[in-house]
Amino acid sequence: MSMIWVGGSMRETSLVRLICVLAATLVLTGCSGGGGGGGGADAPGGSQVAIAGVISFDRLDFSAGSGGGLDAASPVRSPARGVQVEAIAVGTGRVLASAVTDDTGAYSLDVASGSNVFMRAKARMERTGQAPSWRFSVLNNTNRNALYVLDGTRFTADAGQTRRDLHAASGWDGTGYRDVRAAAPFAILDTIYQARELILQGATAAAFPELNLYWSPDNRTAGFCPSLGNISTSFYVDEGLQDSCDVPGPVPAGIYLLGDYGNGSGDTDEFDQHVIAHEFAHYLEERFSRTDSLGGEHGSDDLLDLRVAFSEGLGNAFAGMTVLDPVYRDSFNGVSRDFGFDLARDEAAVPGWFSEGSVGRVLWELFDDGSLPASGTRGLGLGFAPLFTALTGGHADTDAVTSIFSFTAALRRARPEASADVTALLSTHGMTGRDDFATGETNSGRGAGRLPLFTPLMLGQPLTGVCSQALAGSADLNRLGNRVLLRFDNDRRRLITLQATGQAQAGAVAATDPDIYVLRRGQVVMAGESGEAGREILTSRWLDPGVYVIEVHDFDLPGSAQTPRCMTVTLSGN
Amino acid sequence: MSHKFMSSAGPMAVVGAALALVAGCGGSSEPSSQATAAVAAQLPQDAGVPGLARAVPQGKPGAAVGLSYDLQGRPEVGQDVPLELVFQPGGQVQALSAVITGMDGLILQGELQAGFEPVRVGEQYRHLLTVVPQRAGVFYLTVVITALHEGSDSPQARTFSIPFSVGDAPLQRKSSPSEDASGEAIESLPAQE
Repeated sequence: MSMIWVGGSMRETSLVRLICVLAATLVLTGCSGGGGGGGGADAPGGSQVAIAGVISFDRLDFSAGSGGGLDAASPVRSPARGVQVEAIAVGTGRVLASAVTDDTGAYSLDVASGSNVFMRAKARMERTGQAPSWRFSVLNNTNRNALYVLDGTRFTADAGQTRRDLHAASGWDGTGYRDVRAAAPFAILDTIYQARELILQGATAAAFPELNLYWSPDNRTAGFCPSLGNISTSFYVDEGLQDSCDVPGPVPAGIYLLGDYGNGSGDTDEFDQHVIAHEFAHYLEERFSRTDSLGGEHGSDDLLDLRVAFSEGLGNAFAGMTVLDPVYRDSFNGVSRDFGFDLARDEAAVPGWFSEGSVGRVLWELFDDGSLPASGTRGLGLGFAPLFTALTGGHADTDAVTSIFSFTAALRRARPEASADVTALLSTHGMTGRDDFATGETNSGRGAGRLPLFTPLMLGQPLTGVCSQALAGSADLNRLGNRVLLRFDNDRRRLITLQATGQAQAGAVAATDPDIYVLRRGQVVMAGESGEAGREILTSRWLDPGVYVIEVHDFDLPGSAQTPRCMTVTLSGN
Repeated sequence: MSHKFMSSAGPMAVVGAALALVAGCGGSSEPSSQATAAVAAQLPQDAGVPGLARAVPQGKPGAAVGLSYDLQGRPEVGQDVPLELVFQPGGQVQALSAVITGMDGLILQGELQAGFEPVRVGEQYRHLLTVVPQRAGVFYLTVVITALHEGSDSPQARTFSIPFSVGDAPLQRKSSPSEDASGEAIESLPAQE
């Protein structure tokens, strides 16, 4: 088994620091070099010992050839950057001193000479006070959300005991995971470190809302009871979801990641950096921007609802930007295989605004300046900052729904000089919509979707031929054509009644369970979800002035034949 | 006794959503001594409560294939239990293959690989095998599906786990984690030094 250090500077820096520590010990002065050392005298008045070292972890990189999974036999010894380190008093457990590792994984801190201690590295990055600020932690959802910590052995701090390196091993024994998988939490955190750095390019004073990442070696692709490890897949979720345990309870917000090796047949994601960064992008959307995504199952070749396509395409592109690699790879079958796609080269089977593959490629090409080894050739090279500005600006405030159209419209406003190039790039990938509401769009996804994307709904004028379609499938009701979006511009506060009634037409059957949502900038302000056969009605509701998106679909679409299921939608009011 | 569970096509537009949806899938998602089985790869959805954004879990990309299964009997030690797997390809999938893996304490009889080509969205593709538990406990069958999509020569994958229990096997819950001096729950991992 070969061990490879990442970055030659790590060794040099550590050596310099060690020399510094030794010198400091001799002259009893602090070594204030990198590593964010913190104080904490245990015995006031006593002499201090500077303890320094490097926190590292094994990263399992992907094998050179695509599809070959992780190269578990050649772990890359990598610095644990920005993590908290503590000197803990043996017996009392008291924290005598703390520090934060620098970008080489190095730390230094002072404790009283003679202290009986051990060193602890927490799977946590935290910076409080003045922005930028953050708190990212990796917790075990199958162990009551305990924080992972990496503990060294006890020692007595004195002049002869000043160097303490802690290494988190992968637990791979050559044939499988047979030992403690200590590296996993730190590998996860290190991907978050990179994602955080990317966002700081766009917002140097970002205040990151707290984010927990839940990982367990028991996290498997079954059911939905995170406390038992059944998480179904790796995902991000905000507040408000219930699990399906025997005694249901709320699911803590955060990113949940698969970890079950399954004796070589499971799915583990702790080293799948694109997967982790993809989920972090959903946190980015939720907490810094806005997403109207429906969630649900999806893949790069699916024809999706435009909200889902944008959110997932953003996730894929953000992942590439985070690790500066457009080749998305996700290991499975234990660690022995992987699949993925190339954001810089792969074309969607059916390109367009409904394809996360196309959206991801557009976003990547907006970012890419062509300087990376795996860069494509068409990148506009805008970098991340203007994309972040668009995400947190006009895209988040759109009157439409969040999509590639709202995003590029916001980007054009933020960077008008790039507008023509953005238009050309969109056109290359089958998108011609000019504004938030996709005016001028001509691509219906081989007829799976409806044009225009937002059909105007007028007061007192019944709209016929509003049809839920499943030509692109209907899994999770998040496919292209499953839901129809209408637009209503309300010029004053009025009392309205909104109704969707199943109505057959040539080549289509009547919807049997219409549902209605009224959205104002992504917020559901009215919902009609009754099980009434053939009709949904929202009666006598006050509607404030503004632009509304009205979403209509037939709840009975999944599992039905592909025949469209149609409705007539009527809006009446004073 | 037959237990049928779907892995996809979960209705999102259910009032009260997540809990109601899971109940709609056939009951508890956790393995129990009553040989109930779980839904694989299905996250509950919260369709929308007025005044709130929708709470939806957003998962990683994967193959556009759903899996449902039918464990056709109560699993007992030493007894054969037929297990039917039903694959449901989504849009753009042209071919799919699956590999089924058990774990210690289970004997699987029948073909542990399945392949279907061509496939069409909306159609179902079935595969039957037999499970013979050798002891009581909680088990997970793993089904790794790879799918080839239109216009692509790189397959995409999705992994499903099918949990079930045999006999009176209580769920093993961990004891309470230890705490640090601040009272925070911690899980200690040994460092190499």
